[in-house]
Amino acid sequence: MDPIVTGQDAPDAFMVRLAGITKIFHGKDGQTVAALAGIDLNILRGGITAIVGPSGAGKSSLLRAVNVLERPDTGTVNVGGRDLTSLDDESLRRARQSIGMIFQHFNLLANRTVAGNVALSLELAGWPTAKIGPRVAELLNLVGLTDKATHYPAALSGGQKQRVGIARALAPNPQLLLCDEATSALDPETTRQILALIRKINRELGLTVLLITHEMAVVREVADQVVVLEAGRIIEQGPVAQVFAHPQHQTTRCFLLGETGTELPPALAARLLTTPIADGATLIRLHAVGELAASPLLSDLGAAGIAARLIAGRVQPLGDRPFAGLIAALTGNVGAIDNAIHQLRARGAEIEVLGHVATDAVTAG
Amino acid sequence: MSPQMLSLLADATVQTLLMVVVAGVLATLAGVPLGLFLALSGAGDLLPRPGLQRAIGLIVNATRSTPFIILVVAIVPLTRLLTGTSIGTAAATVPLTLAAIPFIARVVESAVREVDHGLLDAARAMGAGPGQIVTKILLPEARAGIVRGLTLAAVNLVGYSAMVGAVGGGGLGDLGIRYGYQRFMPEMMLAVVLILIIVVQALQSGGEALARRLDKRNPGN
Repeated sequence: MDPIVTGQDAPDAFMVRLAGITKIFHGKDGQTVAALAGIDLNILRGGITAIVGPSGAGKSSLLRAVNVLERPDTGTVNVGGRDLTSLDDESLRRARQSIGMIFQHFNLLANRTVAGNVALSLELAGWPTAKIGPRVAELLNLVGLTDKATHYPAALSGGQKQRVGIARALAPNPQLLLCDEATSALDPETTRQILALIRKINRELGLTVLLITHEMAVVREVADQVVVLEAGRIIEQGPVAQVFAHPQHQTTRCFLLGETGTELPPALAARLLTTPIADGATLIRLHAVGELAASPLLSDLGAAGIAARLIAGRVQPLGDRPFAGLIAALTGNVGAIDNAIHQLRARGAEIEVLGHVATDAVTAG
Repeated sequence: MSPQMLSLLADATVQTLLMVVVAGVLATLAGVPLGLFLALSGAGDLLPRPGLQRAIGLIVNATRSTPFIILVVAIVPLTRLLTGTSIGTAAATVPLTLAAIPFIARVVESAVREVDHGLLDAARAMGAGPGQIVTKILLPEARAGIVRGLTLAAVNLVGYSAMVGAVGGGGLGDLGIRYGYQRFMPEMMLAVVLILIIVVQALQSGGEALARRLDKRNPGN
């Protein structure tokens, strides 16, 4: 598999280099499950990389291999130029202090105040007491919780708890932040706020972020690079815009459908034919990013004598560019439709011809 | 009640409290580390020593399932070795301590096991070593449960201390049996029982109040 970014292959370009990582779990009945089946992955320094995949794909094992919370069976884990798998316990503990981690369920100490929780990572790293107080205040200011310093976690909302988790992770000045489904327990609005905070930290502190999630919305909102995992293997990776607009693997496409709003309504799917019919409509699924997504696609089709009816679709921001996903029913001259699809593909659109339906299927109701 | 009787009651109360406090403190010193070991030494735990853990678990269970009155008699040689006698308050403290250690070990074990496993992940991810995990995570997070367990142990010790009275241990139990029962003095028996109830009540409410203050898991505490 190609590295995420080509042409930037100096050793320093990558914060994390995983090579040949395998991890096998032994079930009680003697069965073995390969959680990670040979992962080679380089994570770009200074970026936000999202690892996505269905549950059981090995995301969590992969993330926990990066700070060796779960030791892989084989392979090497290189973070910031050091091979963590070869370190003794004491050196590994010190190395972990430069890798922050936040969790789905926050994992805060219930019996410590907000400030006490943030101080914990500094105490564990052996900071002198006199320096801990000012650093904690700095971090609470960064995450906007200065007024909650003396509260206990039980009195905080989920979003506030995750802010404490972020402050705690960032306190010892890590070079890498690992996020383990960090927004999966939060409501959509809070998720957006936490993702915005992660973005801000990434931009302002230059911190490399590696996150795992099962939500494509999180990837779209925050990540630069995406890695798709299935059954312990990497099936696809690349810049988010590229993977969203041109997914190469069927699993990635399926995963994207819900997020892009291009799931075919069941009523139409039931009437779908594989061959064109007289006076029928051709159903297409179209994905476009950037300039193309913002261009007047439908009137372009109209100009070619094709009537396009929208069946489903959504235009939403992908990073700072628009990303359009839609399903349309095209009626008109068959040759003209083929020609139009050809031209749109040439302009960079990802188009899948889903099939053909009788016209009344798209005009009724 | 005559002044002599009142003075007997006062002495007996002091003896009982002394037995409970001394046995309680000694058993806590031994039981807390033992409970930590039991909680942390299983296969896949922080400091896996499954063989030793099973062996200690067996001894703990054996001690807990031995009826206390039999334990008192069975360890008389040890009691003599440690205190030079098998009668009196000091001697009674030995079996009381020995009976309370496995009890405290088990309550500490269960309190420590109740600490959310995610906290251990977080601590390890922050680079904590086993010692730091125990002192900065497990004990502080389990403190309310440990205090509740120690309260329970203290209440049990009050009951056991009355039982050692039957074999010459001194204290309120001894007084109740010798005066209240054998000399048919119901007012003495009533006084002994009342004092025991007050002591147990005080321990229970004091322990519960402390545990509540230490427990920050619910909002409003």
